[in-house]
Amino acid sequence: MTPYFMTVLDFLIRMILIYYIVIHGIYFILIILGAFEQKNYHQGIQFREFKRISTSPLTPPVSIVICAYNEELVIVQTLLNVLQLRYPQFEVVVVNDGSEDGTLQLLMDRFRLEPIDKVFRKQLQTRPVRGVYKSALHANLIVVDKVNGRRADANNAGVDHARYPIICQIDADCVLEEDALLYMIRPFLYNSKVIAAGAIIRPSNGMIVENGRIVSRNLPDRWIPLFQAVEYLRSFQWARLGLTRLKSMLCISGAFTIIKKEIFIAVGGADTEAMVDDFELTVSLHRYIHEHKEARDFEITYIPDPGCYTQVPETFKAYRSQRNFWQRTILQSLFKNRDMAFNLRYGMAGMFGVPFYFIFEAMSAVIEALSYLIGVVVLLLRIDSPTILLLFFVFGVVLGAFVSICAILLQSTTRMREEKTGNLIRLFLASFIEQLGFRQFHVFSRLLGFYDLLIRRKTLYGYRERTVYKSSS
Amino acid sequence: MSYYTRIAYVVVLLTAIVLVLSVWVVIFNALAIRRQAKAMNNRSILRQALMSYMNGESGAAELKATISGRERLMVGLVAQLSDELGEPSHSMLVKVFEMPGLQTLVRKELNTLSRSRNWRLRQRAATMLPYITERQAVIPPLLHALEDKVILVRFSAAHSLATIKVIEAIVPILENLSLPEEWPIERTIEIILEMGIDAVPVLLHYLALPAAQDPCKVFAISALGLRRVTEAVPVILDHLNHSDREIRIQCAKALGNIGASEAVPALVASLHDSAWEVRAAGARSLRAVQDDRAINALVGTLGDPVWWVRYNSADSLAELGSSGITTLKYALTHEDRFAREVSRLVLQERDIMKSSQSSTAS
Repeated sequence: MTPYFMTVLDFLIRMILIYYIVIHGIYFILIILGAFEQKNYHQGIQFREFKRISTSPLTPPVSIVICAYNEELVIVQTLLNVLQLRYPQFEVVVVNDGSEDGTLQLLMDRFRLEPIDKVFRKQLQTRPVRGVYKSALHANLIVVDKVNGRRADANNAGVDHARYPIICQIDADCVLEEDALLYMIRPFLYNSKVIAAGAIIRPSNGMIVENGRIVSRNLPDRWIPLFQAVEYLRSFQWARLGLTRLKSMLCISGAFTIIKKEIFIAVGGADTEAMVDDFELTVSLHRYIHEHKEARDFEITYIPDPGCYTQVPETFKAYRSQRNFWQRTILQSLFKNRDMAFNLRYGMAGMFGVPFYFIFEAMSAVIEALSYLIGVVVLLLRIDSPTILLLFFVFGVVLGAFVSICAILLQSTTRMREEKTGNLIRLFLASFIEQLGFRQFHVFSRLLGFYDLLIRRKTLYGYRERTVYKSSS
Repeated sequence: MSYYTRIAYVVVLLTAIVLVLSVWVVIFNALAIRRQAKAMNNRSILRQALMSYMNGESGAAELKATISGRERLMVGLVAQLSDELGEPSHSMLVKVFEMPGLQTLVRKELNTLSRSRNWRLRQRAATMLPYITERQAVIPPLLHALEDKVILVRFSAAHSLATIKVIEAIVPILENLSLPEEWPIERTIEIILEMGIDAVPVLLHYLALPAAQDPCKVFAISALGLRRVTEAVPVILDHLNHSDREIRIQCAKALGNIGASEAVPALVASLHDSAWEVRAAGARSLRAVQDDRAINALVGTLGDPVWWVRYNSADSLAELGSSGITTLKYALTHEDRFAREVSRLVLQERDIMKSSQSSTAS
């Protein structure tokens, strides 16, 4: 081994170590900031407030847009769920995005859909709409059947057909708490500068849903969704809340977004060129805020109430496909918006948000893979003893577990705490065990995302699976 | 100490922290669940005792004994019960706070409202006080809280004043919460509506005042419209040509809500307003007056450049009975494409027209 090689290797090891400490340090700070935000949120809710919102004739009506592509296993439960939401006035616009399964037929049969000739104000370009249907059972349900595009295209078609000033976008595999819309609309009621909001999302695997009603909210039974439950806790519940406080939250999950229609239209709708629209839409909102004088005071907010539950992959194949896709989407969006990075014009979103997402979200898989590679090199060339390598590995595991456990700890200080100690212990175990194999698989899936985007230019989602909800029987 | 040894120490330390944290979380969670269950149990006991007291099944001494040691839960619980059970129970529940020992709770909330530096605590006190204090005792501090520097405290105080129907608070509420740039109009109107019908003379009197402020007028007119106060029509008509666009919009909406036939000529004139929001509101309001004079005017706005004006015009025509619907059917052959399409949309929405399979963009 040349001294030069050894110097480079030593430098790399130190850099990776610093990277690990910084990334976990930032997450730790975000979690703490998130906890403060959560405290403020709950202290701000006044007695009778949601009751007042739910009965006021002046609460703004909401159009719920649901994009469905091959969702026959879950779409009926999702619709039954949203149609039972406690909210004064809302409509549901389902966009059947050229499904190849029985989604449309199922909707037609279950909700007695009848074709209508709906005239609408076309403000966004979309693939052709084949037909619009109205439910004979629910006056506030319409279904738009269109030629397949991406989700962004379907979202745009849904927004085009929506008639109310506030749009709530949810995924077809989501179930909402009965009061979810009341939680979401609250910041819009008191602050006219709020233009969009996201909320905590949790895995629905393990939940019991019957006739659209949530009967029980248990943790997932299987390990793969359980690992993701811990991940969602870290990321959706705390980190994104912390990022929102820093005005740097660049991804309102498309699974549950609420946005003013005029702003959605003003930013040109969802980007149909993007592989997935949610990240790109949030970045466009930040852009809009900083590029328009009249929008300077606009705010994007985050609701720390668990209003939405979504299905997470239950098999390695589906998980790999999802993370591969997410990696590609974040890379694509960050590359597209690279001019925002370290650009004072975009405020915190430019100075912190974009660099943070690039260095610590998009690139983390590469750095982690590099650390494993160096480990193998060190081992093969007998540069250091296996004990030292093991030491570094344990350091990574414990650091990761530390952040997860802080997230679980903070959850226990809220009303969202786990009511069964057994569940809490399962979460702890998951936060340790995920580091031993699952995390490496996660890194591998994301590296495939790099490969698929940069070499294969792949833009499609890939393998996806849906399961029916558990029932009490 | 070598580099690796230091790392090893950090790993050991971090592992110890993680393990201690894990155990602590389990214990903390278990204690929190226990505390929560205990609080729920105490609330249930207190609730039962209060209900028995109000039904005359138990006396003050028994209630006092039950409350002892559970004072902290009283404010929230009484507020909840008061809200659920309504007025007669409210008066009885307020009397409970006159018992020795509980007066301190009331004094504490009053002190918080006037002196606390924490605005959230002031907001909470403003929300809770009407449920635990006699009406007369709480009015002055709440009126004072309407001038709080934090708008959310003002808002909560206004809501509380509306809950106990303090009519003399209407003008201060209008003046302290009519902040169009900072505060959504709907939230203040909700408060005025909560005041009930007794608010009407105060609002009418206010609109007649030369010193009345324009932002406050918007709120007053809107509230009168939503209350459907016919006596308010002349004063609203007076304001329909006001220079302030927001006032004109609210006037057009209010006249529609009231549905007064004498407003038809003014509403027809509003269809030519320079602001599309006024035209849209005017078009929508014309449906409420059920007057044939409206039909010709609404046909004219079927081709308006703004979608909402077109849609409201067509929708109002459909609401105006058979002559309106016949006019809409005629409009299907209108020379203006926008007018044709919006007429088709409205007829279709009302199942008056057969559907075809495609949707049309306009």
